Amino acid sequence: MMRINKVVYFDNAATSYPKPESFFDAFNSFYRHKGGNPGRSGHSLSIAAGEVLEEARELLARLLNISDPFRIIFTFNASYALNLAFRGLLKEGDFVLTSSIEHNSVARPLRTLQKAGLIDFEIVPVNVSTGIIELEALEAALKKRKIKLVAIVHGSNVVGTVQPIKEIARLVHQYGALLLLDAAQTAGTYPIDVQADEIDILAFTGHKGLFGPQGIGGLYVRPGIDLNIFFAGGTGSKSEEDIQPEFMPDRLEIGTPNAGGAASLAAGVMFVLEKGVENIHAYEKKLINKLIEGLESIPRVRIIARDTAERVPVVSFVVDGMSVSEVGYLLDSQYGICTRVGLHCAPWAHRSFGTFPEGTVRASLSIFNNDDEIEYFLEALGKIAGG
Amino acid sequence: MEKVILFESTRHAIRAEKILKEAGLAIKVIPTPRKYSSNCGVSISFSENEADRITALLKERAVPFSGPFDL
Repeated sequence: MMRINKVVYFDNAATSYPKPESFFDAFNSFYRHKGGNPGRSGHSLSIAAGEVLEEARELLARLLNISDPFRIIFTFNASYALNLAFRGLLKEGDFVLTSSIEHNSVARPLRTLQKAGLIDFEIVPVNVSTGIIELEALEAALKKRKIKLVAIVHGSNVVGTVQPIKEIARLVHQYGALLLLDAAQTAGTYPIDVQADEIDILAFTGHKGLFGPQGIGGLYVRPGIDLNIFFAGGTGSKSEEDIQPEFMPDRLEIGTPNAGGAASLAAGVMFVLEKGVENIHAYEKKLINKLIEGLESIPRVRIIARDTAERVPVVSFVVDGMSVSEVGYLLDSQYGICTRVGLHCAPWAHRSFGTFPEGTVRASLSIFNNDDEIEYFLEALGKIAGG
Repeated sequence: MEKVILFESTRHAIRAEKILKEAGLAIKVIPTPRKYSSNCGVSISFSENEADRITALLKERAVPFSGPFDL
């Protein structure tokens, strides 16, 4: 079999690679020709940098159907955004519901707040063959006591399941709770409409489906929800006061932002908008289905949560009789295929699917993958599993 | 007469400028006049007869500002 590329990259759920060409141009142009500190000074380079930051906010607002871009604040990544949401929203004695397949970006902040004696939470199970949260169990948990917040991962980074978010939101709101969506895997790869989907708070990262750089992400907070100020600092506004401004985004966005990162993120979001999220999703769905069908015909390969209907282009599997690290190592060293093996920062999820502590091999795609790469991967894995 | 609107943040000024220019309104981005205290170094000026359209549009698009004041 022929090596088709130098590298076949199937680890887009960790970070997308490659990036669109415009990503590089935007970064280059930012630091060569703009490069001031956004929102700080009134001179031309500061304004130029500020325009880049606001452009990124507006493009994200367009992508997610957010009416007021100032309801989006930039953070380092989705984990920081999620922490900000928990710290800004939860008060002592509050109760949170979450799913049994959350990433550690949700699991650890909740456990931390619980251990500090501030909050408590309950984990709602998912169906192990689909990865979808058990809606009856969710409703029962909502009925049991007063719930402040329901924090749910939109697309599973382990098995790819996309949750029926509209249905979940309706249920959550029926019982007077708020919905926090972890959209790390879905922003840019799966259609999201915060208004139609009734999402109260949404955390995203820039470096996955939005094709931005690592080190920039953000949080959307719907109008009417004022998160408490957890981090305070310079904003370039109200500088005569040592009180944090109340208005968004300055209320929550402090210090010099990653404006060069925002330039490349804006280019990435523009790339997604030009392609169309629906088209990206349709293309990736075709590829991932081809991959799953191929996996099913390889002896000893077992796919986790096979029956999910709606998914981001992520699939987890194990090869019976082989360790996942051996499979991953052979794919990489013999065939130049990058996958991710192990627990994917999601021990809860692997416990739920019975793949703890060994984990799985995960293949995750992007619009830059193609049919030839899927065929090459399947042939390589066939040899590894067969040999 | 010329009017001016002020902003609490350059972020707001930048977004306001973009929205108003896209709507084809004749505006100018000017250094904030000394007689007005503002945190943002830039303000937006325009002729009085455009004031209603401009303030309505910024309110509709949720961009915070103060004014209009006399320039």
